[in-house]
Amino acid sequence: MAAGTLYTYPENWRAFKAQIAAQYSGARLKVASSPPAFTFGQTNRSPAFLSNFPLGKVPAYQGDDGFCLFESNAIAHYLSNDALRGSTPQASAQVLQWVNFADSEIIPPASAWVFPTLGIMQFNKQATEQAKEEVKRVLTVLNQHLNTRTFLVGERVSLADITVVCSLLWLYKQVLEPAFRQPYPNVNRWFVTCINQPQFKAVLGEVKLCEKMAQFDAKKFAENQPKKEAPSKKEKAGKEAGKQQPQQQQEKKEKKKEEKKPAPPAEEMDECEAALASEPKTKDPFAHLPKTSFVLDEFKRKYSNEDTLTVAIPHFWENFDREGFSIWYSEYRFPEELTMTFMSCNLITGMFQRLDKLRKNAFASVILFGTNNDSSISGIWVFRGQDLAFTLSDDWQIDYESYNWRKLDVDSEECKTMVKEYFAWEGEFKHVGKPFSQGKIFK
Amino acid sequence: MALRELSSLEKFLGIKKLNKYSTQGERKVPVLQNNNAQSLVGLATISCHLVHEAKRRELLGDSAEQRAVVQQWLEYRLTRLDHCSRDEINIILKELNQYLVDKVYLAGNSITLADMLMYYGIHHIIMELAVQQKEKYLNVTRWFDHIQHYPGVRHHLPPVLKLPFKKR
Amino acid sequence: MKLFVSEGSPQCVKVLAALEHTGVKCDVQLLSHEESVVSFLSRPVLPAVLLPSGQQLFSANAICQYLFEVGGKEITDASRQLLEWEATELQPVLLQALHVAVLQGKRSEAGTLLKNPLSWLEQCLSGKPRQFLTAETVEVADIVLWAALYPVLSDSALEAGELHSVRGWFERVSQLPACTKAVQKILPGKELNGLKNFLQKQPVPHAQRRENLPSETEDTEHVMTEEEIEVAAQAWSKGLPECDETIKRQHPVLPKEGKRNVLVTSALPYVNNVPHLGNIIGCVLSADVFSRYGRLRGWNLLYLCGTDEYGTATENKALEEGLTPQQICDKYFAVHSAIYKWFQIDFDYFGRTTTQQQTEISQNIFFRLYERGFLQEDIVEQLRCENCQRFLADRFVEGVCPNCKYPEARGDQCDKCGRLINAVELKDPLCKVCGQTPVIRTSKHLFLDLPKLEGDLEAWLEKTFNTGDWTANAKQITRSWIRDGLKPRCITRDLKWGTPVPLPEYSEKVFYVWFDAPIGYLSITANYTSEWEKWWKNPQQVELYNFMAKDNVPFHSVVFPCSLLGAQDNYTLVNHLIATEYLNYEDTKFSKSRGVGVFGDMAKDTGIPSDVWRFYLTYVRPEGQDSSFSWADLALKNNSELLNNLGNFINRAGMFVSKFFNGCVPEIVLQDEDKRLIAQVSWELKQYIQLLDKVRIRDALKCILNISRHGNQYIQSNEPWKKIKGGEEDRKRAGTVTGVSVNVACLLSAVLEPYMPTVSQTIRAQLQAPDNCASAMLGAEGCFLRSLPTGHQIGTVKPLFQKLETEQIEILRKKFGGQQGPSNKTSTTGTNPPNAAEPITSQGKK
Repeated sequence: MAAGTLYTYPENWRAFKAQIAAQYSGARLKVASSPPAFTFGQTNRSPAFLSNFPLGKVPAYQGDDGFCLFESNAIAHYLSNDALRGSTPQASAQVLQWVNFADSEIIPPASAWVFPTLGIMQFNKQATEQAKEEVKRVLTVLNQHLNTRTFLVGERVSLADITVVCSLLWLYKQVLEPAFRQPYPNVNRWFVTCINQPQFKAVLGEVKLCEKMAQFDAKKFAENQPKKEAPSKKEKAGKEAGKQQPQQQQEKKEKKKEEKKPAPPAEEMDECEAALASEPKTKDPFAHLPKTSFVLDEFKRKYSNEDTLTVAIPHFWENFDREGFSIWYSEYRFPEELTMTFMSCNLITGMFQRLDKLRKNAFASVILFGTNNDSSISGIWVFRGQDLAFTLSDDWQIDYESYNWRKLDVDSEECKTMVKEYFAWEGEFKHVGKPFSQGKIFK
Repeated sequence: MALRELSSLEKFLGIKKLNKYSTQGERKVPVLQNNNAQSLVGLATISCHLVHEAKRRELLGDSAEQRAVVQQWLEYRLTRLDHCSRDEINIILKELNQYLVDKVYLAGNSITLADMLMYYGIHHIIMELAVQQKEKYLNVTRWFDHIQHYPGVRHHLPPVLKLPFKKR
Repeated sequence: MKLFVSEGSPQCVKVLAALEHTGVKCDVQLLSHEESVVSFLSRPVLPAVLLPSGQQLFSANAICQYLFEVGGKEITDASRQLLEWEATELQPVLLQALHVAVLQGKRSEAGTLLKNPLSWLEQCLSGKPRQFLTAETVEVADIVLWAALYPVLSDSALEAGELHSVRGWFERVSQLPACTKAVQKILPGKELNGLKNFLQKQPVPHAQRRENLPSETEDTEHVMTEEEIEVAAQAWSKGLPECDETIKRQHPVLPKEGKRNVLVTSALPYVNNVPHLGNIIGCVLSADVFSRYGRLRGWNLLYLCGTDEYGTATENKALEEGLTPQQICDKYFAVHSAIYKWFQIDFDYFGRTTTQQQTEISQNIFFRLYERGFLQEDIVEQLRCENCQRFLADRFVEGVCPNCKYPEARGDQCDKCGRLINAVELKDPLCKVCGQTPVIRTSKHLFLDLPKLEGDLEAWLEKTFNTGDWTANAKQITRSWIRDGLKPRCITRDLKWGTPVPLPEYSEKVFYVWFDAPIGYLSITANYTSEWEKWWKNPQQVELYNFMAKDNVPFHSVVFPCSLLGAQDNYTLVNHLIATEYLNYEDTKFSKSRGVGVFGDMAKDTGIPSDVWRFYLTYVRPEGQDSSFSWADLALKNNSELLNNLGNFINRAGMFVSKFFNGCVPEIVLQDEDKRLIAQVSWELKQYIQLLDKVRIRDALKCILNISRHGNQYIQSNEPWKKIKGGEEDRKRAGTVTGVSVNVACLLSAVLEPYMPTVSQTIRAQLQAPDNCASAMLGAEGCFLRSLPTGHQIGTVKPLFQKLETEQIEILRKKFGGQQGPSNKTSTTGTNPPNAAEPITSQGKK
């Protein structure tokens, strides 16, 4: 787990991304945002800092092990865990997609619109109006995406949510008044849910959504202006340090003006959906087991086509491979909830259906005993391997927890009797105490 | 059904202790047998009790307000959803869909017992919905999909496919 | 925080009392019942709370719990349990009791209803030293339960048994200042009547809890207004119209101006399959129920069907049995006819496809398509057996699977790996008839150019979807075909047994069955009447209903309509397409080859009457979802629904007339309760008609059973067998109840006609009911009429149904192979072995 220090000025939304990621992953992150640990404009201009972080920009991360990173997205990525980064190739690519989307689509118009209202940029009506339109477009895209989804990627919070939420943070705080955001209910729902997650809250505190759209703050801008003319100590230091980096001055709180990329064609959305739709290939869950001499299909054929007692069961015991297979007794845990027998049978056949992919590696005879409202279900299962097979695949875990499972000693008399009785659907079924009603075969 | 729900809930909560259950009455109301004290009756009551026992009180809501909202949806599940008629199903789906327009969870900003029991109770209905209906009750579909993917919730129920991706 | 309440609601008493008791600060606003506060609920619910966060609460119990918690008292398990009991167990009964007491004025009945929950509460309280329900102090459960019970416990006229402890507790809570205040505000001095407005706005309480079976949810009981009841009673009293002669059917039935002209077809069964129960309910029986119903409604209706006789399977069967294809067709046509006759399928005509008319009409349509450029030629690779001198259909080839090397793969699919195979890809293919190796030959075929017709088809579908009744599966299957894009479809085959293709270079070929089989509907009509075009080239006047199982949908909704549209000859196209899902047999599939399931020809050997079969098959009709035939369920439904419910009611009603009134319908003086029954029955009748108009056959059957259920309850609560022994008034009352009941029985005979024609006839004969009663009551929207007036003489009344004993059913189940007997598993077996390669019988036709 990563451990280190994040250098930033206070309340930096870029640093928030890394901080929230660390909240989720449990990375031990110290934040250096105030003197003496970090003085903005000084610390980041110091030669020591610049030797690690040549741009002199924050946030910047230095690990306890000396590992250094700049660029907020890289830091957030580093401080994440697999769940946040996306645990399949598709998911991680989608996370990256939304991270880039935030930088190239959200930040430019957001800055153009919000910064004048904070008094850190001159107001330009045309630029602001254009930015509003672009924000609308971005929100429409997000709203559409979130129509059927809870979070941006998968069903849990990911770095995509963290990044996009942080990028929208100033918009929601400053300018997205209720009437403006009302057409985007899905985005609103998602945003509010995210900022109220404990991990977000720990970093962002209580976020108050905009009540009334902030307008250009001329007064504040004016206050800020002369400072630029006669830089304070802080600024001066910045300027000095900025020699190597002529553009440093504007950098302070402001996003660097990236070249705006052309809007992606609409088709790109479909490619993304196609990626989502193609599920990862399933592996053979039994691949790890050694080869076996017992051919289950052969037995199944015998069982289906020949007499059970005189052919199929003798065949079973002659060929059974105790290393490669195990025999289990199962018993339904909630017999008191069984009502009509046909419904109980559906319970069994439903389970079989859901276990379809297990058929190659298992055989079972499951029997319903008793009558309506007084019945029980039990069965004998033969699986590949020595453990319960159900945990090997997510697809198989639905029903088995409703049963008690007991591995039978292959040599025991009990096992022989049970195999005989359950395979043949005949016998005393001493342990059951109810008459045979119906049997179902899983094969 | 109720006992299977409780069993799944126990797993979700990581309760190791073996609780004994039975059912009573025509509607098979679950009963939690309790050796030392009086037994507890009713799905919501037992579920709340289990959550307390597992020290996961946040699942009942993280404030008095949210706790009331959770209780309200538990009651809704038991009185409206369970045993509802076919006509009622559409009304319920409509109401939930409307409610979930601006919410990810039934109460507050994280999963609660209300989501879980509603999910268990509505599962058989969602299973049978046609694609058009899933589209019609989009917010319910989204909520359902989210809850069924929540780690540890699904247990005894098969997953239900969300909407198919649209072909252009 | 803001609290909204309304007058007259016990739920609002809860929250006001809790508010007063806890002293929490809150605005209270009094609204009327109709005002909606909680935006997402579909009907107004009060009380409601608007929380500081903007969230809304609409459950009184949750609000109370919240108020207590804000007031510093967290809820305990014991309290929670009582709240849950109150919401889930007490409220339903309470609502029903109040409903009965306040709206129907039957206080004693309300008392009876409440006995159980109140005595349970009594038990909880008695013997405990506590002052209140869960503790020595007032907890949320006390307030909630007290307020819920306030209307019934404060009303001294409501008798609910000795409730010493409950009364004591109730008095203690009532005396709390918070509670007196709440009552004053919400229920100011009007006692039970103060609840009237509130109760009228509540959804109707259910008489009893329904079983938790999602597939068997029943409709809620209908609650009627006084006005509705009065209207129904007046209409009923008018009796049957004087003359309204039943119109006798005259063949040939032809469309008539000014009439609703309905043409009904059911999918043509393939001649060499003996139809099983799934086929029967999926096609001919469903169409028969609907046709009988339509005729009762006075529609001018023609119902046609016939056997589909051409194709490979017939050729094959002929080889097998050493007969000519024609002989095979003749033999099985007789089998089919006999089966449908036994099932009382009332076709206007049951024909067949091997007729001259079939050749003429098919070739005519073919030429029209050909001339208009809707056919194209293409070369197809096929396997040909030189020994047998014929091209081999897929099912006549066997070989090694190219994928998994399974040696016995069929020409279309491998049974081992399940993959679809193109017959020419098989390794080492063998002709299944002679065992020789076939060769690959190319053969020229004609294709119907569906893509060219797609535009016309879509335009027509859009119109017909909007105006006709298509089952959801039919629409969905059709849409998916259209969505996937239509491809040219081969309409010719290298066969002998079929309609010849009338082009010189195709002289060796016949039409592929799917091109000409649906044309069978037309040719069968042509065999019925030379004026067949009045039905089939008359879309302006004729409404066409096609009945089938869902596997037949694309041929009826896409392929056949395209042929007809392309022919451009003003053909009548399907308006209503009714497709069923599948009926399974005891949770497996019907399979002739495995001997599993009941087949049409065996049904009569069971000794179970045809009408009972018809009833059960319609009762489990796979309407909207797959369903199962089950012997146990058949016996259960026979014994519970037919014998105990329907038969019992009709028999009792008739017996009262015979025994108590010498077979003469007595004088009827309607009281409120009788009118209420009449209105209930009328409502069910209207439902029945609405449902059957939409071809919801299974659902409409439930209405019939509801009518007799209402009737039984009515007899039970009025006890005419006791009253007949009483004084003058009582005897008159017994007469009225008997007279109303026997008229309900008469209505039942009418609504049963489509489902159980013999039983319906029997009832009518027993009651000597007038011939026109069925059509009079089923006309228009449906109206329950007094068809048996005072003085009407009825005939001899006898039981209608017999009990099916468990042993009898067990024997049948063994005989027809279910999954029961363990001994027969490997021989006739229910669980199908994975290697058994028999094709599974389709529910429609192949």
